[in-house]
Amino acid sequence: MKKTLALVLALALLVGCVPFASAEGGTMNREGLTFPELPNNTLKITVTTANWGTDQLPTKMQKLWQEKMEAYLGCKLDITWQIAPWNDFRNNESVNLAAGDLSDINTYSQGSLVNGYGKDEDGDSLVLDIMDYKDYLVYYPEFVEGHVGGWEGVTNDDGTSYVFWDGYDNDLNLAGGQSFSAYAYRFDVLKKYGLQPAQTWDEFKALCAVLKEKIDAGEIENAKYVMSNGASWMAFFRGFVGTFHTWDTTYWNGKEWAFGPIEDNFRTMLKELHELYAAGYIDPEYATDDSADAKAANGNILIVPTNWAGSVQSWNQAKVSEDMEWGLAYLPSSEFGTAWKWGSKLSGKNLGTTLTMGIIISADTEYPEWIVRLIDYQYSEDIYKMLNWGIEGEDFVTLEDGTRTYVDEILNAENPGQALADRGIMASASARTGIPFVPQIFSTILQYSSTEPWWSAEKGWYDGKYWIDTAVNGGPDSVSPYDRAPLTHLNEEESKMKSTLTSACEKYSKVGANQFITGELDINDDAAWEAYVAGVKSQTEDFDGFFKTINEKTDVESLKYYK
Amino acid sequence: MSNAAAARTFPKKTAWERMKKWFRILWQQRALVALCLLPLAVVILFQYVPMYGVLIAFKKYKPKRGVWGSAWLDPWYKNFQEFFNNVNCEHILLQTLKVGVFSLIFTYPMPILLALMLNEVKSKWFKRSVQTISYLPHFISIVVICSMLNTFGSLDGLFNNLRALVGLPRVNMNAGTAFFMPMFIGSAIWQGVGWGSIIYLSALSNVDTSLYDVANIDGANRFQKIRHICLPAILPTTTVVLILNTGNIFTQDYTKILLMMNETNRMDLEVISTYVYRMGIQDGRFEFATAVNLFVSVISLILVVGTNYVVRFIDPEQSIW
Repeated sequence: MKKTLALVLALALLVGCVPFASAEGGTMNREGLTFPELPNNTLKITVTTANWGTDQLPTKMQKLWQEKMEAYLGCKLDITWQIAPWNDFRNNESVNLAAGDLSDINTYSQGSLVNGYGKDEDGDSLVLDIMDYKDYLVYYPEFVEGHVGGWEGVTNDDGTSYVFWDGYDNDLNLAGGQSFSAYAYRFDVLKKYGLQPAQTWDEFKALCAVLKEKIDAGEIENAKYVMSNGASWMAFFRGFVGTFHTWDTTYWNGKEWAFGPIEDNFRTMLKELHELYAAGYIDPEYATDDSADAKAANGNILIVPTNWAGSVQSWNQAKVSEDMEWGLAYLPSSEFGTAWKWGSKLSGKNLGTTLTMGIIISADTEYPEWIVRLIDYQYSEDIYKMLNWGIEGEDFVTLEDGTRTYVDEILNAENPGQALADRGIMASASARTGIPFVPQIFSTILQYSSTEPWWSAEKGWYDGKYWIDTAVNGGPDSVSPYDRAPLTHLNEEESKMKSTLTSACEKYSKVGANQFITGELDINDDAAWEAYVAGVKSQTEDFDGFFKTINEKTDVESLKYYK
Repeated sequence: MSNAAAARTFPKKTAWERMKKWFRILWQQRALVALCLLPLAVVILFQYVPMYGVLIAFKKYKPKRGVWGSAWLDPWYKNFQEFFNNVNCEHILLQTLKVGVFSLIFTYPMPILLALMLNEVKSKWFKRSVQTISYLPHFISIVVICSMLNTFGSLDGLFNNLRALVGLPRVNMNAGTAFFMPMFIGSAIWQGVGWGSIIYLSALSNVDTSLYDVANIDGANRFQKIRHICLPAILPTTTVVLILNTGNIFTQDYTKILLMMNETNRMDLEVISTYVYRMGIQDGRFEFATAVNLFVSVISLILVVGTNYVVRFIDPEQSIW
């Protein structure tokens, strides 16, 4: 009896072990591709991502995302989430990379920095090279094809690619600016005195002079200065660089890669800004005061040239007087032509103008084939349209002309953005469901965004929307060269160098530029300017050598893609 | 050799015998040894074990390969070379030294003065009230302190209101570097003077009161009593604090400097600690930041040893070792 029992138990053990052993080391074929078999048919992974204001995990759309994913992959998903507030997440990201502290899947926002952690001379890598699993991609390639140069545009010079870049579906084909593409004015003040926003730089200076007179005469309640900065941490000059056809960091200026803050155009801009400062138009605390929002809402300032899309709405909500009205007008043009706007969107499905955000996968992950497949599926219309629009009937309805609109319950809510976020619909960007970043759809963002006061020479005073009106009022000439830059392939060392150079030189130039604006340094003194330029260049080992290299490695032919 | 001399000569102990004696003493004092074990373990675990990490200062650090697995730099001093070749190196070192030395000069004597003054106060409730009030700022977060400085230094802030009272023009004290040092050191004194005086008050409380009685009989006035009784009583404490503070000249509270920086002074206020933070934490260059910090540690060690040497040269009894 005992012998029989022992035999049965031994057999039971053996039977139990055989499938387990097979699951550990076995593979399976699907659609001609090989996948490792999963224990208990469960993909157990960790995901590190961020929270943009609303906890995405309990939302309806997140649960639907998981159901759809499991159905597509044919396995259960057991995900351990590590979520930090977006600002904390970004602050710690480069440290986590440098420390090699990666989850299986990670939200990523540091551009080319990741290349420094890619394959070394021995083939060792911290992050997974997606190109090793290109055969497993079905939906991502469609977005890649929309990027300049297609696959060539997203791969490094050694053929590697470590990031699933954030996709964007510009279904309206509008090249609206992202931010810093319009000046904010106190419309109520302009209307009261029969004034209007400036269309040219000369008009802008003249407008400042008139407003200063009114302030000095005590005619405008609470007003202390003509203009200030949108926030002390923002470079004040960022609102002006487009007008003077330059930029505040490394950029493609239409002819070559350059560092904006040492260009002649940048100096011209600083001369003009110093004139405005010396005339008393600019708040002396523009670079040090953290209460810029309060100053705008309290009516202490009348123009905010450097502002985020959405700032005007928040000031109008927080304003101290019902009579106050903040509004927007496109950047004034200058001797250099139509002002450039920042972040002009590409048409159709694409990966954005700059490859900055996306998803990276740890090279140590156990089941890369499954994970690549999972991320790739997020680029399918099945997933990203669901996360952007929600469920038909519950969250949106289809109109007779075939277009979609959110249901009244969302659009008429006190805060439509929050109503969307509570459902886990990504359009508000407060809740980003799935594994961020999932492609966003332009029309969904426009749907819920409320209107704000605008002015243009053609339409006069009207209600508009930032991402539409920066495109319409700026026109095709307002698309800047740096938003349509050619392909440049940098190796690991060069990528790191670009990152270090940009960071160090930017910090130095911001301080120097402010010193020129306030007059601490004399912008008209060639020696002072040359010393500043030398200072900027000295922030990195070989400034000129780097730009020579980057320009040599630029494929100018790829510009034809944009035409 | 006389018998008396021979009797005074002891046979030299072997190393084994000395070690046996050492262990015997340890065993006899096992209760004390047990008490020390936990703190010792903490020091070893958190102060000494991580020291192997300084190796990355000499390596091309790859997180995947770890500290030992990463390749050595060629040349091994490449990171140090990069720091010294940096055109900002001289400015950063000078700024660090400037902030450190001025902080030491102004913040070091203040707690001593407060302790001496409080020691002279006869009214106990007044003395305790002053002590409590002066300790309080120590418990305010540095973030709050810097926020207060930012507000007070603004055009409509407290400092400018005071300037306006005496007829001075209002200026943006948060911009540039002109007001950085007075605000940095002034707030450090305000925040630390009370807390720092505790150790000196403790030393003063141990003074034999009969010394004051004798001084009174001899007709000594207050300043003479301070000079001849109080100051000698706290001299060992002041010396130790001075030596330790000297070691901190190159390692100021970088969070406060970081929080006082803005886009008008960021590069001018850069000190080694903020530079290490920027390169190491913000830019993720752990190996380079480690090299710079290692350099600072060596300088700090030299300063501590040097100060102790000077003290020993002046008065051997007052030095730490």
